[in-house]
Amino acid sequence: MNRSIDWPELAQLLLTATGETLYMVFLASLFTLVIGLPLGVLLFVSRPAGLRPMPRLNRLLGALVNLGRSLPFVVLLIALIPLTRLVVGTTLGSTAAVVPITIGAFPFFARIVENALDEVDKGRIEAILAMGGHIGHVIFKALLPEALPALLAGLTLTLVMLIGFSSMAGVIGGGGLGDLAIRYGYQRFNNQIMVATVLILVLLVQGVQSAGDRLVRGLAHRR
Amino acid sequence: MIQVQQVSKVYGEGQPPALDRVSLTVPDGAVYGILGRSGAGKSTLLRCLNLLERPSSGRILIDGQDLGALSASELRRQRQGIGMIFQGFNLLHSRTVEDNVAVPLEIAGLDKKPRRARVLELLDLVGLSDKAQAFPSQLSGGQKQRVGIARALAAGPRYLLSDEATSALDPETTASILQLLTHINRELGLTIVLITHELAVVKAICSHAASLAQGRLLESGPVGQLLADPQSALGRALLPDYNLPFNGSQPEAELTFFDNQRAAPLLQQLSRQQGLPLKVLAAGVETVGGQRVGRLRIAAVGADAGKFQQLLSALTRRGIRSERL
Repeated sequence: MNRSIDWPELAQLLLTATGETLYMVFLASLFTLVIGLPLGVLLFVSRPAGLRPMPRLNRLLGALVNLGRSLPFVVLLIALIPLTRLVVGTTLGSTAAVVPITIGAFPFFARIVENALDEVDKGRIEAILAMGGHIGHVIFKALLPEALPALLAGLTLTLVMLIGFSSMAGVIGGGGLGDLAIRYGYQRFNNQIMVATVLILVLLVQGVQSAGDRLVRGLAHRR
Repeated sequence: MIQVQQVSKVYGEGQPPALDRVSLTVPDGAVYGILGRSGAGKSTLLRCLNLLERPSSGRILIDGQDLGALSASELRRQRQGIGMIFQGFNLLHSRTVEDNVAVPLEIAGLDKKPRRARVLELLDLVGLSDKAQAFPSQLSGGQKQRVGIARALAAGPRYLLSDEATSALDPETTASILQLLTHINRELGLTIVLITHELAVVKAICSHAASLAQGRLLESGPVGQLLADPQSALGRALLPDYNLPFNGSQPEAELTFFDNQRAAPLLQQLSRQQGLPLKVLAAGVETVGGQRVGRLRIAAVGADAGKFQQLLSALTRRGIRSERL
């Protein structure tokens, strides 16, 4: 059936779904940042020639990160259902979707962090060490601040990916714009909804990207 | 005092050592220049002095303290007393000039107020008070190095290590940075160890010099001593230079002297005594390591080789170094 919905109802549906998407993206990006940033730093400093070489830990973490990145997100989404139930208590809804989204995104972000830190001039690290600084000084005075533009660009990239992931969460009933698109656009052939969700997603991604770009440019400008 | 004792550094098996049993002593108050081509091991040696690079064998003693025997936290404290400046400046681009200079003070745990006071004092010393709020990217190379020097001095070190600090700068800027280093050495009493591939740097400011090739120390000592030693290749390299080929048609010799007032009359006197007229072919006077050094190329007129040799021996006995060509 192809029942058309009236405008107020449409607006209501879109508003709720957009809210759910933003909720998922916000929470998941928060967790991705909280887990991925320290993990990326750890990956960098534990390298065999790093500041605090721990080759075994480095290999283990590297393998885990690669594992997380090698699974297609849809597979991860389904494979992680038991874990989600364990953590959130349910497998349905936006909150439940945050678990697989975070797990899908943080390994990616950790690698971005590791690469961003690797781009920092080694001489600046050496300068901090020569002053008598310890590894904490190196991380917080040199590595992270010096890599900030690259980290922000990487975060923007990750956010865009997260928006994509959150839409896919519709597959397991995660709510949000993806869910709406599947239930109305795909299962009920409602083109209004389909077009509207596509538009909102495009706007969202554009907004995130240009905000990120502006921040990075602003930082790079004074450096 | 810094003592380097039999220090070797090997990076990989089968590779030639980057440093091969290097020993030298840097006395307090010295400006110690280590010369060498790129790849000679200068940089490795300098990095051994604050243990950024750990020697494979041998010891580094700073004021009698063996760096290798220190715990990690003791080593960090020791490093606070050894400033370092770099060819690439290595300033933090995310911080203003003022905040860059403050880094060692933050590491030392100084409070914000005394920190700021100290930073302004240092910026004044290096002549950059007006650039406190600028970012490193807005500065010229010479200005960046001045910030680097202010930063290196912030924690009040006794030693300053300079890793090719002027190699990326133009000659004029180099001269002003060298002047600043001399000022720091004289006024603040810092002992400076610098590595460079530029002879001119050693000539300009060093009291001591050493040369390094393929990881080995060829020569080392006070510049005056090196200059006076006819066997010293480094001493010869530091002498005033004039490009005058020797064609062998007449007996010629190079004279080196440190006392201008005495050398010329002495030469005249000896020339008259021996009845051997002399010709001055070339002359040069320079200040090397704070010492005036003169150089003369003389030729015997009439080509009496025996008499010429006698005259040279007489000069040598009176403290003028001579070399027959």
